[in-house]
Amino acid sequence: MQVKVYPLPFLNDDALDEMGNLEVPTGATLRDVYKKLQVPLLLRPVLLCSVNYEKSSLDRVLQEGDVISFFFPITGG
Amino acid sequence: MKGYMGKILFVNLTTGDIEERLIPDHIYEMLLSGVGLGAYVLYNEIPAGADPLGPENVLGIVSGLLTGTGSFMTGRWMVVCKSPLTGGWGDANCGGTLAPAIKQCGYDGIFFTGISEKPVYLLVNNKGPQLKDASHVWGKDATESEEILISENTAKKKPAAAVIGTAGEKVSLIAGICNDGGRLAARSGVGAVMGSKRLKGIVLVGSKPIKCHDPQAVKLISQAYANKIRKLNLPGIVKGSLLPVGGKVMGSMKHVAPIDGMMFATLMKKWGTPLSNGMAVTNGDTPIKNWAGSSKDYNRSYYSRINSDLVIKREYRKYHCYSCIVGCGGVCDISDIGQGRFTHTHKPEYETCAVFGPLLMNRNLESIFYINELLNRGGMDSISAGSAIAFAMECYEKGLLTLEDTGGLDLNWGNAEAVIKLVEMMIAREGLGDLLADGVKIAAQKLGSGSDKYAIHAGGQEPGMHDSRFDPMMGVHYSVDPTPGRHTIGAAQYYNMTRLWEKVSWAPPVKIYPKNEEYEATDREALKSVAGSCYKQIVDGIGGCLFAQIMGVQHWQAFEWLNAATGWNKTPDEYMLIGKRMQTLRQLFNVKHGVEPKSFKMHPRMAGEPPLKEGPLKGRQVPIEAMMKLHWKHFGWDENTGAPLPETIQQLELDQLLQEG
Amino acid sequence: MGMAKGEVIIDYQICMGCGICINACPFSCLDLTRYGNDAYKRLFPELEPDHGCTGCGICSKACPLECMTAIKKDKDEKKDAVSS
Repeated sequence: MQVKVYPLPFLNDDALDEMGNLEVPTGATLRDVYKKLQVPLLLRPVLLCSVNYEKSSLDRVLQEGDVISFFFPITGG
Repeated sequence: MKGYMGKILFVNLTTGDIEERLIPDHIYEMLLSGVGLGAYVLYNEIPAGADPLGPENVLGIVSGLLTGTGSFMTGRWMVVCKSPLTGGWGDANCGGTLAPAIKQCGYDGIFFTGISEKPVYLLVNNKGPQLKDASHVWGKDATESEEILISENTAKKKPAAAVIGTAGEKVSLIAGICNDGGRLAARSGVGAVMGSKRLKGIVLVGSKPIKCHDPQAVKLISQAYANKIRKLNLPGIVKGSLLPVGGKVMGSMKHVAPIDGMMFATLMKKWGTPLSNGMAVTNGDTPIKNWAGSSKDYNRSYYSRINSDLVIKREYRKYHCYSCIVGCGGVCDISDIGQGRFTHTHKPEYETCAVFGPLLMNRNLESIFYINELLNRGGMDSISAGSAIAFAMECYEKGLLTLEDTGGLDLNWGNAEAVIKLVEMMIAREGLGDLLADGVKIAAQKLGSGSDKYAIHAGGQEPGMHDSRFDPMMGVHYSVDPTPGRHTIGAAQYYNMTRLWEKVSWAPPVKIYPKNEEYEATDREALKSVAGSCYKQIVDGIGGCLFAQIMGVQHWQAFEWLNAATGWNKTPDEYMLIGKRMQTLRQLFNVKHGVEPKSFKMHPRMAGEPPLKEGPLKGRQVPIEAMMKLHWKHFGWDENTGAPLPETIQQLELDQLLQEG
Repeated sequence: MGMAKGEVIIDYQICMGCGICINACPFSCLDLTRYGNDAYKRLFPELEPDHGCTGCGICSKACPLECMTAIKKDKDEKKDAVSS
């Protein structure tokens, strides 16, 4: 199944396609996505990440079409 | 029933004649409403060589196609005119309350030509449009004038109004037009044009329904958008003091990722644009000390004093523009500042904080609040005013201005008291203020002595507080757009968040990339800046908010809303062609009026010539000429002159449109 | 008080303070005067004191989030209001 990921600049997005979609097996968790993105273990406690704009634990089981976004400072406008 | 009203009002201030003009459907389908409609009217109405401050200039106040149809973040109104600042196409954009009122009076736009013998204002109510005497408010500040005109004309429904302040009356070329006690359409010198016509304001009271093709479909898209925004709130751990740290981290990154623009909404909900006050200093986005300094100068002892949390500490209510569900604005208590001269002010935007803070090495936050209210009441553009003062400070530092020239004002960097005094002098056009009240380009021309080195502008327009050495694509738009110097058109940051590639077939997709790629003049980067220009026009045709745009097309679904409201059933690519047409028409206006697009190239300092020696932007340079060429080439314009090529004009069917007028 | 021919009920769990209803009302019966229980000092719409609401429903039709209900008070109710 496909989920959509907005990665952070220091992560690895090789597994994402151009639209940011990531292919994961059914029953995959947020932790599995972290592994694919190669999120450094030390940083995991301090990163703010949401699934469908809700705070989620790493054990959350993902559904088709879920959106995973990391919080990052922006200074547009 | 397609969202637009199909009519404009045309007012001749010389003769007093007022007429309604029907606009055929195909114009909206080719150019949308808003700036597109404005460009169509102005290209045909204003003769080449017209004096921007003379009777032949046409000032238009327009709303967007989606305004009032039930979509969100589509409450912007725009002003169009020939700009006295740049000599070419001029426009300005504002939120507030005016946009729906224009359409509720039955029009998509109201246009003024000629010059009135005496100060007047336009009233449109159930008796129709009437020109009324404004001598009793001429000379009063914008906030006071607006209050008086509204209360005089309130029968059942409360009017919406837009007025000029003293700056516009005195035809300061950096004057703007004010609405709702402190929202401004500030750029391009639109306030000067209004003042030159002795038009003090417009007062609109209307209740005509705004009809569209499928209101229920529009609502469904709005509800999906709202459901995301409602859920999104910042975790408590993100405090104002953390933001500059985030900025430092961001500024030191060697790579860039296309982040989720929805995250922007969380920051805006809490702080509004001052979220960037500290963060943009540390990451390099904010230009410092008239574009010559860095965060080594405006260091933590400075930016901590204008911290985002300190700004919202004074905020006692949030402010939403019409149809906005984020509410990034606010109203702040300033009754303890300046002996309580003012009780409150609209929360100063990041642009105002940056131009009167880091650009002037000023760390007195209270002075920024006070200046904000002075400028809102005086009706003057804060970006241009602060930039003009930065110019004066550098001239003073370099000995080109003496204490005698400044009337005894010690214009040392960071002298907040002197800045306040100088702002008052600029609004009143007194002493040195008179020199600066028309912007940096004219100030440098008048001052001479090589001071143009310190006049930082693009084509006569002072640039927004976003450093082109931090985001080169911002610099491209500063230099190539028919309205130069504007920070609201395009940038790498905007492009990455807008995510046009999800819907537009030719927009280059973005995955994580090395930051250095932004500094190379490549076809790929040019296609991105072209896509940004085209989409920006669509946003200005529908009355959309830039901050909604950069949340992303996957969230703020402008294309889908357009189809629901009009029934046109166009693809995103087809809408982008409309955007390309709108942009080409704006450029054709410049060509018609003798502007050489090359001359809009931004000041060398903005391109890193010479490069900064320290700070996050140390050594950064922008190959701006090469980037301008590529941008124009991919627009189908002459890459050397910037003039739209004949085949492009034909392909866009602009030749037919311009003959009709 | 109670003389108005109508009123509007707003679901504040859904309302996001966009102001579309305020602008839609032909009689400016609504204003942004009600603080909510959110963290951000947002103001929400409510009927002004001495409002002349007729229950016409223009506001509720305009609301994209469909969180408003316009009510026409019937003649008997009005009589009671006057007499009490």
